[in-house]
Amino acid sequence: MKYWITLVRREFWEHRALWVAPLVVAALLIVLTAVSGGVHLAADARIEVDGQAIDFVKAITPERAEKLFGVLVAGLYVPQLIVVLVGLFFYLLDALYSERKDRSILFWKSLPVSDSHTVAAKALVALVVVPLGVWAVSAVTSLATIGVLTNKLAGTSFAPIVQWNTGIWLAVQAAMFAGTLVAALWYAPVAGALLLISAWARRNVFLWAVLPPVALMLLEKTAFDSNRVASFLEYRLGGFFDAMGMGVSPGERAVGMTDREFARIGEVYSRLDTTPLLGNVDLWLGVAAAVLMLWAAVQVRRRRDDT
Amino acid sequence: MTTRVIEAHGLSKSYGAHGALDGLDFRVDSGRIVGLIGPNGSGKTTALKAILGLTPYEGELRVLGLDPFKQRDALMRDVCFIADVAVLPKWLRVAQALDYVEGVHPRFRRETAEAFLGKTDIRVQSRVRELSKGMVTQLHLALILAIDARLLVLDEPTLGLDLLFRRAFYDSLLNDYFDHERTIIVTTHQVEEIENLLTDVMFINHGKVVLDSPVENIGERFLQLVTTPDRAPAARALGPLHEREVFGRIGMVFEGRSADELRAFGEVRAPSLSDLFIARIQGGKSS
Repeated sequence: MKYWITLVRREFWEHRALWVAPLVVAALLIVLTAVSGGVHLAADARIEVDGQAIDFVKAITPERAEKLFGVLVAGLYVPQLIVVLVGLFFYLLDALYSERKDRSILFWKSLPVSDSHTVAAKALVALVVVPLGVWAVSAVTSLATIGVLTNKLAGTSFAPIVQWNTGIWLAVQAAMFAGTLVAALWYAPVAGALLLISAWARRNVFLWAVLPPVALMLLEKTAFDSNRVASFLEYRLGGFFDAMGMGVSPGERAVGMTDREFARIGEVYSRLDTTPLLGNVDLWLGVAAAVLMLWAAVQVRRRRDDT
Repeated sequence: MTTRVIEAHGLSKSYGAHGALDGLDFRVDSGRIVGLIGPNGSGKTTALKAILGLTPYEGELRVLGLDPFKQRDALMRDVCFIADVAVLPKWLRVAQALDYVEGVHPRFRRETAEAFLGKTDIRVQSRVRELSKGMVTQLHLALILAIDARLLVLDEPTLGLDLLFRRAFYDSLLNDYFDHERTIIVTTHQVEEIENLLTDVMFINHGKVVLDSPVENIGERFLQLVTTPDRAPAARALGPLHEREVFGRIGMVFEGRSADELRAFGEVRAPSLSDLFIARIQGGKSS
């Protein structure tokens, strides 16, 4: 256990952004809420209900308040998710590349840590440790943000917009926790591919990650006028968020939300439930592909000696 | 008790058409300090990489009874190596280096490393990038000395260090580390500096072992004669391995001649390792 903790800690020493970035985003969310929360809502903000514009605050029934609260709690995850996905992309590309670039691989390999353990620890950090850490930070952030917001709105006519609801808060956190684990499985092949590129490319890992898929898409488009590669990548990269109901443009949904849509949403958090994805065979095919690519990354790290 | 630490039979390795190792046969027993000496590109680094399990190879190789390439992680419990001064990552803090090795190495004694570091100017909160080259080597040495290993492999460990650091490095190695259970293999270009601490030398050239001998036997096998140009032709008839002219005097290295035989032509002494190295690598060619 101490051994694995050491391997994981080492990743956070080298890639400080992995833990600094989520804390910075959390701090920003809380500070921005404290500074500007509520101010941007004009007093005559209106919402469309069945084609009729009505006063926003008056439209908030207890039932709608619950859903609004759910959307707020879940929405607080979005900035964290965006930052962590970008961070993990660069982390995975760097993970097996920087040690070759600075030749420190000769130091790591002088210790009794096998290549498979090294690669496994890096995949574990990207797929489980960081996402669960971000989940925990986000949960705490939402408590703080909602506290600040409630305080801010107290006594104003906007107070009804944020009504604390323990049940919904817990349900959203539970859905997000489960979603984090499902996402680890769904995105495992992406992590595997990035680690393989990181182990294999002599230089320019970023270009090796980005150019081949783009080139394939263009080639396919010119040669066959089809988009199979593009839609495959879109499915593999965006499929999880589609399942979460946060598909292409979450903004549109929130802005154009009508009463009918409110009704259709049902329980907010039931849309966040991604566990049905576990029944999708594509997820498991992806996991199998991930295992193959991680194995290949181990073999490449083990055999190459160009340092 | 002496045990076999390394045993190689027909150890070969090629990079494309270029053969780096060409059927090496050698053995290293415990309690020895072996100098692996060869010119650049001779295959000595490749041989070390094979021993450390860093590269696949052909032929037979056992290190402490293990197959290094297949069992590198198991082997590294008993083997330490310093590749050269540049390999500790720049972002690593001294305290993190101690934490890491302590976390993954069952034979690491943190107190030993800390005691060694206490004698240096290295602060535990420093990052490797803030340390001088000499200090990085001290840090690496502190980590290595605190590991109870059976085989230590050093590849140019003092490259780029000044004389004081180089001397201190080898002193620590001998005083704090070496005992007769342990084995050290070292390569370096500064042959003169390690000459006195070696028990064995192995010369390697073009991927082949050209000399493999305990140091104490070298004086019996090889002699250096310093003579004058007028007496040189007669001495040359005895078949020197190599000769060279320095300041009007001629130095010749002989194998298998007695000192009495040679004394007729001039001054006789044991060749230094560097003279012997040049003689062996350049063969009969005069320079």
